Amino acid sequence: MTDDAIEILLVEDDPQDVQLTLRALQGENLGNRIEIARDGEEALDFLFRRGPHANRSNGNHVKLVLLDLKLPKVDGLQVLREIKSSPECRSIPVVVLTSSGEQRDIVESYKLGVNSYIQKPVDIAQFRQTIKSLGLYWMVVNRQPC
Amino acid sequence: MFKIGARSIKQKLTWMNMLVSSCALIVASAAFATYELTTFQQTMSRNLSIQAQIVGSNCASALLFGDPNAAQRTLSALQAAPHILSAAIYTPAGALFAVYWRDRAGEALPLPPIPAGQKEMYWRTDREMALVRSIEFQDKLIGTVYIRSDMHELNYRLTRYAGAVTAVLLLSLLVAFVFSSVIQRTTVRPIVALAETARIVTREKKYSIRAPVTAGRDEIAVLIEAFNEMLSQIQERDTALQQAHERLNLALKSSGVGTWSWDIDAGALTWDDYMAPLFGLEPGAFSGKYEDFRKLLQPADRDCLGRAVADADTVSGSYNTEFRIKHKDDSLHVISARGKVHRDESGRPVRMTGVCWDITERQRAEEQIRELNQTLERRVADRTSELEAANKELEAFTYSVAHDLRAPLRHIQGFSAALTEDFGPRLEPGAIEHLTRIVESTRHMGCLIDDLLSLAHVGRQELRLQATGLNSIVKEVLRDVANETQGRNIEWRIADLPFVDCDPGLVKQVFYNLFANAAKYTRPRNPAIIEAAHTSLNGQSVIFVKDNGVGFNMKYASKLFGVFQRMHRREDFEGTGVGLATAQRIVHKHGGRIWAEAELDKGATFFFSLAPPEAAVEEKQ
Repeated sequence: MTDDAIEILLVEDDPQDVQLTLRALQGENLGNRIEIARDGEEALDFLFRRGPHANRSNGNHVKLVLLDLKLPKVDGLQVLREIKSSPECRSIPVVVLTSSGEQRDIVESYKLGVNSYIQKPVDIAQFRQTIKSLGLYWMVVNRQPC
Repeated sequence: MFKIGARSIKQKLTWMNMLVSSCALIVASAAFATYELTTFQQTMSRNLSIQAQIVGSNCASALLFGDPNAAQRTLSALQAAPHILSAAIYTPAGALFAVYWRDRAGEALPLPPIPAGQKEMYWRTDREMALVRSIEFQDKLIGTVYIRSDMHELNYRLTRYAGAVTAVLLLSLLVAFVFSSVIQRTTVRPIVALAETARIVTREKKYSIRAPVTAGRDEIAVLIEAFNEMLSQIQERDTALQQAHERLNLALKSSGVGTWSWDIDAGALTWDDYMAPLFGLEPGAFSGKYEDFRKLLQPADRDCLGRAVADADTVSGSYNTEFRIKHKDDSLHVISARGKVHRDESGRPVRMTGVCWDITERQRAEEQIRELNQTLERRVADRTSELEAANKELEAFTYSVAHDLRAPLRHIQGFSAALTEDFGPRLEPGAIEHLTRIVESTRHMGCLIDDLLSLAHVGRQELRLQATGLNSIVKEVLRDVANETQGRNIEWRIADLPFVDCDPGLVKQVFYNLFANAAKYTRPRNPAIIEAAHTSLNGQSVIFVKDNGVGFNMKYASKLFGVFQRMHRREDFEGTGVGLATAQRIVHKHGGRIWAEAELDKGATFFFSLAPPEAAVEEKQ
């Protein structure tokens, strides 16, 4: 899998959540072109081609960032802020996918320009349904600049 | 020495009465006496003249015939008149013809000449009266008779007269004395009593006595009345003054305030008894000199009075100053002085009066209070920051509860589902059932976490009050609840509800919790009837939600609104026991109250108000 093929960046530090999310996405045949970042710094390095990803080839084909808020090193809101304030990356849709339903998180995320905010349901059936809908919507239905 | 001014009015009146009566009497008596004497003298001289005529007539023949013996005999007849001292007959030539002596021891008397043209002449001396008369016969002078009488009669009469006058005088004086005594009783005595009263008042400062009142309405009665009235007023003022003085003294004594005055020109200070202790001096030890006073002050404060005079308010003259003094025991005291500067017509300060008290303790106490306040403020600040830190921790805690506790639950569910999906065919039915229970438990725990978060959220949230129609809220809530109760036969009876000032988001949660509860506990009913309406209770608007569900025993009503308190078993009715606690917290935040009435198996009614009772609101205003 080359870097160019990456369409979804999943920023999630919890391996269990990574597993469950991947499982849900794979169920919809969306699981093949996913990059996983385990913290905010890694996510930013990947997106802005820094550090270990400095040699990533040009051309940014990431179609969706699934972003957890509670992350080691650089937290999700900071990642969101940097994405949305960068001319290069601001058009990439960012969906916050988090356990927190706190108002201040929701408000802050929208202030920073999040495209969607989703609280992970505890119920696994609902969770699957949610992942499926948002994958289909952003990857298939939604149109974005090439 | 006799001084009229020193005598009492009683004596004066007596003297006056007696003097007046004696004067009148003496003048009258003198007039009478003069008149009487003059008359008597005239009578005497006339009698003497008659006697001389008789003697002359009787002696005429004797003279004519030159018979001195006959004349002698005639003269002897005068013995019958004892007052005749002597009588003599002279010839016209002036020779003694015959003579008579009462005492037979006389000598020849020279014949006084009769002035020409007169027949008779008389004169008198102190002791006697004498008369010379010509004896004529047929208009021819034939001799002269010379007769002398003593004044015994006159003197006797005078003596008797004087005696009578004296007696009358004494009698009238006595009468005057008696009269003045009687008059005194009615006139002088009240004056004397008044004088005596005045004397007692002056001497003993006893204003409670009164001068005896007289029956009359004369000037004295008016005087006494006025005097008594004056005494009453003085007594009143004296009493008031004394009381004020006592109060002042008490105040000064108990407060340790001293009063003083300073005659600026004379440089003299007058202190009351309370001043010396303030300066640590023995009573009376202060000289009263301004210079000595200055020396008692700490050097830096010595001109404070002078400065106070200069700084005093020009209109009211009031001033306020402080100075420090050192007592004999070396303790430093701060004295506060307040008072007034008095100025003369030209505005020059001439006198200062004021009060002094020791404010050392007060200043010390104030300092302590200041320190305590600072400590307290510091402590409050510490506590506040501690509290803020605790609040932050709590927030972080609820945040991590929201975020971190949910994740493992999701994982348990997720992997349980994955297990069923991936290995379902190979699992025994018992294992599948265990997995189902695991999923159910995690779901319940998810609800618990959500409800607890909601409860915590209500506690933190500020009320955002706005006028809200409760029917619109109820409509929204019903949509949610209806979704969850699809397939059940529920009859909703929603009355017209009022508009109230409330936080719509929070009140929506109250309605949701109550409706969801009602729907849950009416599950065995068909149809279930759920009613929402409002009523007035003690003048307050109260909303209630009533159902025909399973109700509960009122015995447990007190537990109803406690967190995690449940009335039913989980197998019968699911729930977390947090919903009513959240509803109560929201209602309390609005200042209202919530309560329930129920009967087992006959339904329950939940009442709530969204504002404090009217009375409480009015009190606050």
